[in-house]
Amino acid sequence: MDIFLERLFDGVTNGAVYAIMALALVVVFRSTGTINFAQGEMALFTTYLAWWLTTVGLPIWAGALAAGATGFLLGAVVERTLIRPIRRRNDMASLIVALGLFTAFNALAGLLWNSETKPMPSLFPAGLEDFFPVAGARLYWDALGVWLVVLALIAGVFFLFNRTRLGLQMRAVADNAESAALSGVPTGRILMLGWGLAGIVGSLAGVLVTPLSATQLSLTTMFPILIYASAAALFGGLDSPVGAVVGGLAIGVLEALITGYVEFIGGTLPQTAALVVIVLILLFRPTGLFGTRQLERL
Amino acid sequence: MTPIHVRTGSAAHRGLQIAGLAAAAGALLLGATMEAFRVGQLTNVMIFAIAISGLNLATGYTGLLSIGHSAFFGLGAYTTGVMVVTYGAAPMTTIPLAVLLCAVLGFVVGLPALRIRGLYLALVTLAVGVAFPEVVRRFEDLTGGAAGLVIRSRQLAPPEWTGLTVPQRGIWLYWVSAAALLITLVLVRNLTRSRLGIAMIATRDNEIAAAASGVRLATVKTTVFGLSGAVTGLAGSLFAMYVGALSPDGSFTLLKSIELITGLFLGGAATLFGPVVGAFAVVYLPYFTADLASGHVSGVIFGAVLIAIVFLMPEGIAGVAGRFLGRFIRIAPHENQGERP
Amino acid sequence: MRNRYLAAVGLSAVLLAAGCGGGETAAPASPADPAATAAAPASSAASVTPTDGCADPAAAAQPITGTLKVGWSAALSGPLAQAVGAVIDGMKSRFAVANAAGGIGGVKLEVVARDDAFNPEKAKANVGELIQADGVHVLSTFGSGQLNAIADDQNEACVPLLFGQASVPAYRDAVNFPWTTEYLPSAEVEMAVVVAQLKQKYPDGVDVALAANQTESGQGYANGFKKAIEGSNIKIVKEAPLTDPNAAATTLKASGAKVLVDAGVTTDCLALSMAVGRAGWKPETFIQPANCVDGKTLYEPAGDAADGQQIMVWLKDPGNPIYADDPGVKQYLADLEAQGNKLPLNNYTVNGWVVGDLMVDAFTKAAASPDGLSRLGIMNAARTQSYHPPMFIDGIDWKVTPTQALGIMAFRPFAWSAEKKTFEAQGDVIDISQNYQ
Repeated sequence: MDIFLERLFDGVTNGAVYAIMALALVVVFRSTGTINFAQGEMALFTTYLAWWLTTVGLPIWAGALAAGATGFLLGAVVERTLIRPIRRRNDMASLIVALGLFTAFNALAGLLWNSETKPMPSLFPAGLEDFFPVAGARLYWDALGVWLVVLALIAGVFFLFNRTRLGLQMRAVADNAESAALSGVPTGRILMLGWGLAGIVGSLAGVLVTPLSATQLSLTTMFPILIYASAAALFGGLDSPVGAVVGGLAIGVLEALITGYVEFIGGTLPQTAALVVIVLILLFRPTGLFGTRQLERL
Repeated sequence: MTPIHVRTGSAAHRGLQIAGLAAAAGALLLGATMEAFRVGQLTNVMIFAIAISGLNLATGYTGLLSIGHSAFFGLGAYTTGVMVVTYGAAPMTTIPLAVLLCAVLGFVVGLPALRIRGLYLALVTLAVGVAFPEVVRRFEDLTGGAAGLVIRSRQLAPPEWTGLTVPQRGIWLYWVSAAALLITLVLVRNLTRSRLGIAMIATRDNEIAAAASGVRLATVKTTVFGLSGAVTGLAGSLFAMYVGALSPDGSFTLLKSIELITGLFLGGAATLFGPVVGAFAVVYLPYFTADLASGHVSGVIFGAVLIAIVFLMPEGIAGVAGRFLGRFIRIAPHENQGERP
Repeated sequence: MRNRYLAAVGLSAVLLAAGCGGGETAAPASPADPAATAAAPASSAASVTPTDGCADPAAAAQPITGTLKVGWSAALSGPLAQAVGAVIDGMKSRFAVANAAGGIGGVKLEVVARDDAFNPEKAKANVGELIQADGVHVLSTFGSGQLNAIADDQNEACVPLLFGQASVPAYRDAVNFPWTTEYLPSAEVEMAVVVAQLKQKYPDGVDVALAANQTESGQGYANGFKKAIEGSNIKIVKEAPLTDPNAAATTLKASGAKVLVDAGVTTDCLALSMAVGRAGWKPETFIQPANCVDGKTLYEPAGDAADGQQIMVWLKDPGNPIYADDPGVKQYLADLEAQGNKLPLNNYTVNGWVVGDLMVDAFTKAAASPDGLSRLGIMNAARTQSYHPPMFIDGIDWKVTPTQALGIMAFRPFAWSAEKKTFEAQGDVIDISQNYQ
């Protein structure tokens, strides 16, 4: 039983990180209608910044704040200068720009801070003794910390989109930018804000996941996170924050359990198994579990 | 200046076509005389061009974004690899099987496209792309697993009728790839002008309108994915002969898919020669950026160049070139023919 | 968050083990002096390398004059760039010292490096260019995938590929790959030494839990271990894949084994340490693979969980206080400072330095041989090389003969002390080279 619980906790923790990144992707999609493929590498860049600040003496929470602020700035600037001008063209243009940013940010991080693996301090107490026992299994504080952050984030995002004026404006811009502009919504600022918020969320994901990662802080840390997060966002429905979180948790837990218990698939086909399940779900719900079906006028 | 109008089927048009072919033949012959490593580079470019042409069919012409084409590339490569190494087949004879298997996989991947669209479909292709290296590693008795599959050079000897020896396999593969690329381009050109081609483009532009106008989406999508996979699989098969060392995590991961997509859009999606230009870019751009600066700086420059291309040349290099040439010469259909799409 | 995906990409090449060692040179600034190295009479470097399969046999036997170029195809960009760069810089520093002493009989040494982004097809293209356009005389590379892509081509061209940074069993075959040698220790040999030590520690046998990475390197270690325990009273009671270190830790903990062997690659060491620590398990003996030798990034972050973990080491670590008075280490540090090398204490730099040292020794022996300083002479010298690089731990030599190309067949066990944050020796050098004649 304790092994099962430990695997479950691992799965939920992994899943929570995927969920946070997926939330960032959903925020971008809900505000501007595209997917930011470079979200992971932008988060990596800000995480390196946070790490660097800890090496010059600042505590990690200050580094995390700096990372969040930088993430916001980066997101807003990228949206204004690179994404907005070409958005109207087609999906593919934004995708290529995102691919370019993906390559550039990764290389920039490597350039500024070299590609050696760096141990990353955790925001939560992370010693070997920092856990509390649950039915024989150990629940570590830093894992619990990540879960709480996800809960706080989903509450925050939900509140933002459904209960605040800003959220209403964001939804309006995503739905029909022209009408929104005619109604007095400052569309430009809203778009920047959307990407900026996603930047903060992404940075948070980076700072949270790196201390728990096998490769700590290295140039390859965020790529698989992005893959799983994209799958989670799509699985849950690109315009649904709740879906993103459910998707992320589902993928994390599925992966942990399949790897642990299904030996035939387990050790060698974890990503395949998780993605196959998602594909099957998409076959029955083509816009994701919680996504809204699109109505198109001809 | 007003452009010169040339009618298809006229003598001037024929003349242009022959001149074009002669230029291509000349370029190929010139390439063949270069040093061995350049011949190898050019062969790699041609193989990439075929692979990107395959992707062009699904993503460029039909609008079905695929981020898993590395799986077709890999399946073609491994089919050839396994047939040559385990069953001692002659490399050329493995091509039909590789193409067939990839067509089948493409068809299967096209099936979800009936229900799932857009970025969600891209996720399905992502699943295929991610699954491929894992499956290869899982079935290591067949594929050599993570250690990879190595095709020794003597197994890649050119066929006897050519009179070439094992050390000359490079030039043999060069001409085979050139022939394969030519056939692929002709095929793509004819396909895009056929009814299926019109249906593909209609599907891309507005799927529902296309369906309302009588396009059978199910047939179009599955057929296109099948063909797309088959063409990229052909490239994979040739790739196995070129590099001889297959490794699931070295050459057939999502990063390869990203390279293919980059090449497609740099070159120009939904154009005939875009894939060829894109292949040149993808193979040679890293050399340029590495020359300018080493290590990570080249990565930054590469990313910046990609972004610049989107802003300055969104239809890709071939698209821009096409517009430029269009100022001088325009090919219009013969009066008796219908409009070209 | 287990980084399986790109980790597998980057790590199937076993990069470096390091252990640094001090080096002793008999006289300062004379490492190129043949008398200072182990004596190798000219007559023993008989022509063991065939040239009849060469595209141009005469070129292979032609004496090299002016500059001897060593070409690398390596990952100069991407996640491994730092490590790879340090290795190449270490080698360049060693060559600079040799050049300052007059080179190899007046011939200067130069390094040409081309980026392959850890991609086999780029490696193949690079090697073609290195041989045909850059005119290199000797090659090397990183990674088994890259080596696979270039082995046939470089053998056909009869350009020696020396001290390749990989450990693929196929290329230890002098008959099929006469122009290729590898530097990294064979997984089988390393595991045989590990087992030899386990037999010393547990004469009555012991139960072992094995965590195996699913890539080639991991499987190489796992199989090597299994082979080495055949016929002994050491038994594997549970094996688990390292794809998810947490799952592996919980599974193996349940087996109750006293010994845990990590048959993995560099990224697994820390992940498994942390996972085992958090699962609340403290195996009596925890064996890490030799390439996990970077204390600061791979052991320190795990805190107490890493205490007592053991690795096999063959290089002297210039940062380890036990070598503070070692003349070899002192000379090494002095040379590196003179060359302006920025990372003298980095394990990868030491590795590069040692590879440079081995090459200089091979070139020197070739120059003194009947075949002279030609590609053929160099290859023959490399095939019969017996040398103790000053930065190898005393008692560990590099030995290659025409019948075995293993190179490193001895190790010294070290264990990590979490309190002192350094590695401490756990006994004498274990040398099993007599098993591999």
